[in-house]
Amino acid sequence: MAKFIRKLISNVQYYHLLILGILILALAVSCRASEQGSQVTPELELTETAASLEASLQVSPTAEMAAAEAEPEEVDECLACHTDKQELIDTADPVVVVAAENSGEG
Amino acid sequence: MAPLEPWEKALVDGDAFLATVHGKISCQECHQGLQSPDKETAHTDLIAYPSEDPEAACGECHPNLVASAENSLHSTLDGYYTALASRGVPENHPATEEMFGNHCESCHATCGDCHVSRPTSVDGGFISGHVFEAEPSMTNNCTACHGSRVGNEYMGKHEDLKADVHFRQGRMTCVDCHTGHEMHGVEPDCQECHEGPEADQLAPETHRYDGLQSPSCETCHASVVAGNDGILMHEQHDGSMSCQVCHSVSYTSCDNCHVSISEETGNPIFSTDGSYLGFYIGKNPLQSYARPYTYVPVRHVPISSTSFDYYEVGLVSNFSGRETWVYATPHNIQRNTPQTESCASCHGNPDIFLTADKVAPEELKANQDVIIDVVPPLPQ
Repeated sequence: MAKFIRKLISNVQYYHLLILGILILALAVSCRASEQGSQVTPELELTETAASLEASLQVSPTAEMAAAEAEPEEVDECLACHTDKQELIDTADPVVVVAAENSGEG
Repeated sequence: MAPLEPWEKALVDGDAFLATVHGKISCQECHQGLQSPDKETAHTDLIAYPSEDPEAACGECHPNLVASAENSLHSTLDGYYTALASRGVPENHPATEEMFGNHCESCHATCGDCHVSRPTSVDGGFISGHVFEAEPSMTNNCTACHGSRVGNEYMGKHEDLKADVHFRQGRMTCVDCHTGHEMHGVEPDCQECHEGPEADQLAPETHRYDGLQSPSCETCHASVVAGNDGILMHEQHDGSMSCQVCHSVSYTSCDNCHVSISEETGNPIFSTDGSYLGFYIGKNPLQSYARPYTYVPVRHVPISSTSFDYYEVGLVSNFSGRETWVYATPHNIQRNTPQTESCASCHGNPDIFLTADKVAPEELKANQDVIIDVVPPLPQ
């Protein structure tokens, strides 16, 4: 009888220990999962901040057009013409061919 | 030098030019004019060549260069004045001033003529799309003006004559010898090192061959002058002649230039009797501390006693006041030339010397200082 009891106790202890171990493992896994869910990398944080800033600064197309009308982009007419080969060809003064009047080496 | 199309002359390389320091300055700051898409309106009061007033256009950022360049021959044209004055052409004379303005002043070179475009005397045109080039282009800038003699000789454009060895083998351009200091008229302070009688001979500089030689062959070929290069001829002649006497080949001379105004177009024109190649050794009329040579090559310049008669007869009132066969520094240097073949190439050879029989009778008096009376005989 005594032998039976000792065996039972011994079995119950192993059983409890096993259950306790499983519980601890489950708890740890669950904690880890929740921790990962709440953690944000600094990069992600920055991106999100920039995105939110951009969103807050975003102007509607209408507002943008209005601003452009108020301050038109300056066009340098000199450069506009003098960097345009075709424009220079079209507006060049006619070439007057003058016969060489000098004679001999200059 | 191929001519430029009208559009090529005025086409700005937007990307390249705007990336430069000068590209940060607005066009109107230098060229004035107006902002307009219409060409005529845009060009109202346009200053096409701003550096004709170097102080205003360039002086703010380049004050030292502008200040010194005012004294350069490209700016003062003193070479002309010196030559005219020595032949009795009166200064501050209406006819002289008119003639000078019509024919000589076009040789005046501005900052832009060397650093931005071809010289205005050859009708201008941007070289690198209005990018300012610190180093002038040999063909677009230097030989655009100095072409018929220097350019053709240096680049070997005369039939059967090789290009200068410095160009042919050294691939050197003008600025390799003629430095920015020289071009900008930065005068060396000769008296800092040369005192006493030497100093007297080095100043003042009224002729391009006055003062120290700059550039000089000796700068690079120092061992030749020191006489320790092992070449017997260099030791034998011992500075009695300029380097070109032995190391130049035939070069151009011209005769009889006359200037006038075209009746047809009203443009200033000239005529010369053409040019010819030759090589003559004469006496050095400009002997000095820096140019002690007895012999130099001489080239005929196209002045005549009637060159300016269109403006006023007798303007050249002292034709004999200056030689017409002038000290020359031909730009066609070769290691081996007809002169270096043997002693007899020169010694006892009257053909190579400027003797009186080669000088026009009316020019004999003017050339007394250069005419060779006795041809050096062959050494015994």
